[in-house]
Amino acid sequence: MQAYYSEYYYLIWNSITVFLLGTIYSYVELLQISSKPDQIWKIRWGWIYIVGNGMVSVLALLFTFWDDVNSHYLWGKLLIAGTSGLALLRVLSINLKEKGVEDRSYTIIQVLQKRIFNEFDRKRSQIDIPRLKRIMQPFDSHLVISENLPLLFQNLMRTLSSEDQQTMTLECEKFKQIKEGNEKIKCINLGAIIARYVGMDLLESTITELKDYLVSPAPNENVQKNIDEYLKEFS
Amino acid sequence: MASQESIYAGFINNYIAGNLEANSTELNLHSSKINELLRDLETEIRKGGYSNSDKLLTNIRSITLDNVGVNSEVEYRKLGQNLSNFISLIVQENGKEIPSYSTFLIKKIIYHFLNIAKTSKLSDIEKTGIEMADKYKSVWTS
Repeated sequence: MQAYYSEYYYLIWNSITVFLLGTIYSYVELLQISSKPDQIWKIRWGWIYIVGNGMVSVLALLFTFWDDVNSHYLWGKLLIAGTSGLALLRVLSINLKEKGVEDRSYTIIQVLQKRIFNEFDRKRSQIDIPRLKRIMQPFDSHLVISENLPLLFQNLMRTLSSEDQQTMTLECEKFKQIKEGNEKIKCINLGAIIARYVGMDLLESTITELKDYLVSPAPNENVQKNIDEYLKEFS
Repeated sequence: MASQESIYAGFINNYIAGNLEANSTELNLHSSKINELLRDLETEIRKGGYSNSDKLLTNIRSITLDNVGVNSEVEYRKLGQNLSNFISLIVQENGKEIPSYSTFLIKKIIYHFLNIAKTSKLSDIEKTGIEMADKYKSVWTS
């Protein structure tokens, strides 16, 4: 009876050990998407990913060395069980359909990571009005923003899809056609449109860094001036 | 997962495509106006008063055909080049001496092209528009 309890006790402790191995490994893996480690814990799919990896490691232990948990080379066995579970998740693949793309094979881990990246991007893009107001404060004309920022962000962001790049420009350009309304509110609106695509962090850091250039006249102003003068003259 | 197309090299094309699409109504309006004016100018050339009317007619017909369904930066660029060449051809063969209604039509064509240049925000098209306007001013208003 005592031996049974002793084995049970070992099994729990060994399971906790491999669980920690799986979770630490997957947490370190997720650090690649964020420079701020605490942000990972704010993503629901981040939790699922980390706990899921830990559970898979525990399952691997239960399927392999569960009746041999109090033996020699225990640490080696725990390491093998834990990492083989993680490895399995990273080699098993499934076929997924993507809009406009042919069926493509993804490993289970890629599918989970895709979910996490999407959720992370959405979280990062959540719009906070006081913050947006503060970011867009230097601008008095929405034209400066719609003429400069979409192109700048397309240049900065390699992960923005081709479709998003076009839609962002389209939305900003269409916004320019609205003649009515307060200029400051229009600037905040344009900030919100752009933040949806690039996130508040990038919007804030870019505007903070470049506001002196963005609020001053554009270098091609002379060409624009010539065109405007000719348009008046030729109309 | 982001599209494989979202590479750095492709961003400017996406920006231009988005801009042209957003302003397509205005751009189409000006290019159809240019088409109408080119047809009127063709009628004017037929009436006479030009030393090289055959050459001018062939040229203007090709521009009118090319101008149908213009909707990309390449086609706007081509339109600008064709119009600029056509104006040069008139000036080269006839100098200032062309009927006044024709100069009015040319002025209006340039006006609509300048609008296209301004809306498209493509610097080479803006440059072509300004060059055409400069040429017009130097020949017919000096």
